Amino acid sequence: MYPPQFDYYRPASVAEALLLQKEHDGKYLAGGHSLIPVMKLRLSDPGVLIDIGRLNDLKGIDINGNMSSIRALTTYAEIEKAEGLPDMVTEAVGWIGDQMVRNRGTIGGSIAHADPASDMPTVLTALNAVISTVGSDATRRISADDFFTGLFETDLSENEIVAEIEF
Amino acid sequence: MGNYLGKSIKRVEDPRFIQGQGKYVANLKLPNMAFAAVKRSPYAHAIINSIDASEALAMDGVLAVYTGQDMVDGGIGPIPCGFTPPDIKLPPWHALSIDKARHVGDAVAVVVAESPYIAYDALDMIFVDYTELEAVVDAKKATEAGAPQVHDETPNNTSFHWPLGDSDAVKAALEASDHVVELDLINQRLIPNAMEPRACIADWNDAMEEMTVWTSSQNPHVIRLLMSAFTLGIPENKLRVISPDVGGGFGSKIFHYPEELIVPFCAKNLKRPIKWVASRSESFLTDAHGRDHVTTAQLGVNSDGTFTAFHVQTWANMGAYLSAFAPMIPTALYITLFAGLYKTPLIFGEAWGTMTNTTQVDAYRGAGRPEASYLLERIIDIAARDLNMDPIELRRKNFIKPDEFPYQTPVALVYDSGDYDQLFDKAMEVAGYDEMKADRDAARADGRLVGIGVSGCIEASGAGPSKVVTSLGAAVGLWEHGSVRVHPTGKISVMTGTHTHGQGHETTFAQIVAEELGVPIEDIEIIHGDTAKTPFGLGTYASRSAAVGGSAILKSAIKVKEKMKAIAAYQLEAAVEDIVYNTDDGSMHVKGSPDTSKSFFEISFSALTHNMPDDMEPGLEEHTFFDPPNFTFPNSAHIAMVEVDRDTGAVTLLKYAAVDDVGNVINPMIVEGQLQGGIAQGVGQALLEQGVYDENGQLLTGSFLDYAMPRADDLPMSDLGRIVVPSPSNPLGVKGAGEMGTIAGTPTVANAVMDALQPMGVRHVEIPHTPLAIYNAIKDAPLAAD
Repeated sequence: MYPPQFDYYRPASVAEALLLQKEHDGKYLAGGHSLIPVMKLRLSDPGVLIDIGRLNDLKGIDINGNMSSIRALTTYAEIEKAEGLPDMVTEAVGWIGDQMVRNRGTIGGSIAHADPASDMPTVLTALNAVISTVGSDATRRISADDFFTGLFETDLSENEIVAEIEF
Repeated sequence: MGNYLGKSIKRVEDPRFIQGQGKYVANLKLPNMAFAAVKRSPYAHAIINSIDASEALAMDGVLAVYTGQDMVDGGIGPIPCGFTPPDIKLPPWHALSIDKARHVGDAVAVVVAESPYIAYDALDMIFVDYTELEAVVDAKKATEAGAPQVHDETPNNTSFHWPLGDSDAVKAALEASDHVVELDLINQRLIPNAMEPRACIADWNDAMEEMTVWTSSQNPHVIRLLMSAFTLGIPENKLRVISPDVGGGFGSKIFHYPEELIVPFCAKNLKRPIKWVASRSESFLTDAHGRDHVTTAQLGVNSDGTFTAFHVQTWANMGAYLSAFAPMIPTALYITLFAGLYKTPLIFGEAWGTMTNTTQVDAYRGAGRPEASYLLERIIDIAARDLNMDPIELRRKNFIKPDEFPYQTPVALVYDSGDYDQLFDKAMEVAGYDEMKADRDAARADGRLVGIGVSGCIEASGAGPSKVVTSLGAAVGLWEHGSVRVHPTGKISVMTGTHTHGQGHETTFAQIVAEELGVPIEDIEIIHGDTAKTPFGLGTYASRSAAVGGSAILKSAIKVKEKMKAIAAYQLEAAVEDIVYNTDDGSMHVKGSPDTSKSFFEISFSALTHNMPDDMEPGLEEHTFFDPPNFTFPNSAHIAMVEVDRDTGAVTLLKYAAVDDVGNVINPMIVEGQLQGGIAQGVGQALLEQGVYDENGQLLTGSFLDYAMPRADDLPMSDLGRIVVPSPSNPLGVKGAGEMGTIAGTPTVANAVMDALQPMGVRHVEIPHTPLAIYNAIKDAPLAAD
């Protein structure tokens, strides 16, 4: 299917991304595996896409003992390969889509979309994860319990970007 | 088994398909091509008051918008129906609807633009003013007083009525029977979902006044005939229809579709090549659906188990418009199979074809025969339960015996051959039936819901004898063309009017010719799918291609061989009766003198150049139009074992055994693939699939999120056995294997689930046996679940 027309911006930094979103009221694009299919079905018509998929500041995994922290734009493929994460995370991520989807899909993008059929919301809630966000006006730390508010609904404002997930 | 026939030669098509090098209609790019998108009704039933395309036409890159009236004014005719029972009422089907939209997805306008992106954006800017009307979706309720009328031409939404047999005589026999099984049953609507969505490209050559149309079809010649004779207004000799690689059809790509008219109409008007490719959503809404019967039936049985009479009434949903073969599915392909494998002496069947505000319904893998087999095998199973007889024993009591063939059934068909006891003996052996029963009984004692289901099925395939099908109401005979052309250098081109769309004809037809002429498969090319390259043929469906198409090719190969032997005889100065044809390498030698020989190449070269008998025409090309004397009758015995989870209703298919008689087998690997795939589709209908409309005519199952296709983990590999009774109706002795698995799969699995629920007193549950359906059946069961 063919998505409706949209403008496309590719910011070089998180700060630039936040500014562009404020200015154009756009939607953030990470791996695209949730948003682009929905656009192709014409169920979503964002008008402006702000592609944050290449922002390296928001990639990476840190593990200190049994505390883990995954930055939002880490792909499932990277999470799957990491050693030292809780078994629940590694196993769940291994079930997501197929290899091609895991190469592109990001944990931050997925939880911002909050599809009830997806795997991460349940896993993160079970782990009592804390989700850090960054927005033009504030940075926040939100418990998973408070982050996921309904089907396809989160506590995020339009401008906020998921930055990091800790558990 | 020869050098080629009966061998599992790897498919020559596969390398290009596996490597993404197939050429489907959507892959084709023509210079200066523009793109069409179709505006479709969101309502199931609505008056079209007006269409305002002014904003769309003002968009950059939009070339045109056309409506139904534009097409009628441009000489485009309504899509005809190719099977007309007596007194049928034929409502018109315009490619773009004019007065009313009659189903969700009904086409009302087309926009053409420089890119598909602009075309789809422009669709949103076409404003259609509708007055919504009440809709009707149920096949039987559509005929009740007060139902919304879909067409003025079909009062009470009834297009035709097709009775066969003597209803009073059958009713009297039922009265006189020891026991009558009554069953109301639904054969649910299915959505075909071929992997490749439909697509169409048209290119109009204004100087030559020639139109070329690429369409993903199972039968390009039939489409060309319908277009030139009825719909497009372009003479047949100026119209070329090409179906390149086609990614699956299952029947849905047999029919003439609106887009096959819309796209050429745009191409001729705009004088540019035009392309349209369906989205999956469009496929769900506009590809012909399958099945959708509402049935009331009675089977008379005596206490010794003999069937006395069978009475059936079926309301068959045609959908909003009559598709090309739709009236044939619940009539000539359904009621005529009500004898099954059995000697039931008195049978009556009648079907009403009814119009509703749903997508049109037509042939889908099995086309009428699955509907007949599901009904018959289901009611027989209930009879077995009522009489406390083993389901296989009850069937055996009623089998037509080998010495009773040819057998005139009470429903027109004459079966030519069969050995159903042997079929079931083998199935019981392959399944390990006795151990299966022991396992089931032990599981039952443990409180587990395990069941065994069987079915015995027969179908009329290898369509078919032209006299018979035309007398039943078909507009065309079902013969087939096949020709063999030997080039001077000994390579061979085979032209066929069938059109493989997954069946592997490029391999199996080459095997036929290689076997006959001794030429290696690599030197044989099968040409199909292009009306400019092959003489008229009827296409691929109804398990006909090997039986009818392959036989035509074989006969042409034999003619070629006879001519080559005659040339060799002349050149070797021998009598033609003394020429031995060596099928290992195609060489010919004089009997008793192997060194006095000619190679295949020497003769093929001669035939086009010199050294020929004086009275013989040059050339080495032979044609055959083969009209089979009868249908073929593949038959099967399938046995399945399932377990039902009493808490969730989920059904697990534990084991599946299938023994089929499909006659001689050209390529065992391909036949097994057809059977496994067919069984998968049969299981899909039994457990998973259903096209569902709400009472407003909205298709609730409009995507793969809601329509459950069978997946690999739903199916065990079936254990396949085979018995071979060659068909007497064609020189290859083949019966056709494409549909048998689907026909048998559904009743086998449904019967197994019902057997699993038998301890709870559950008699019948409508398919699909989804977890929810079975959960509810358990919850409402008459007997306690222990």
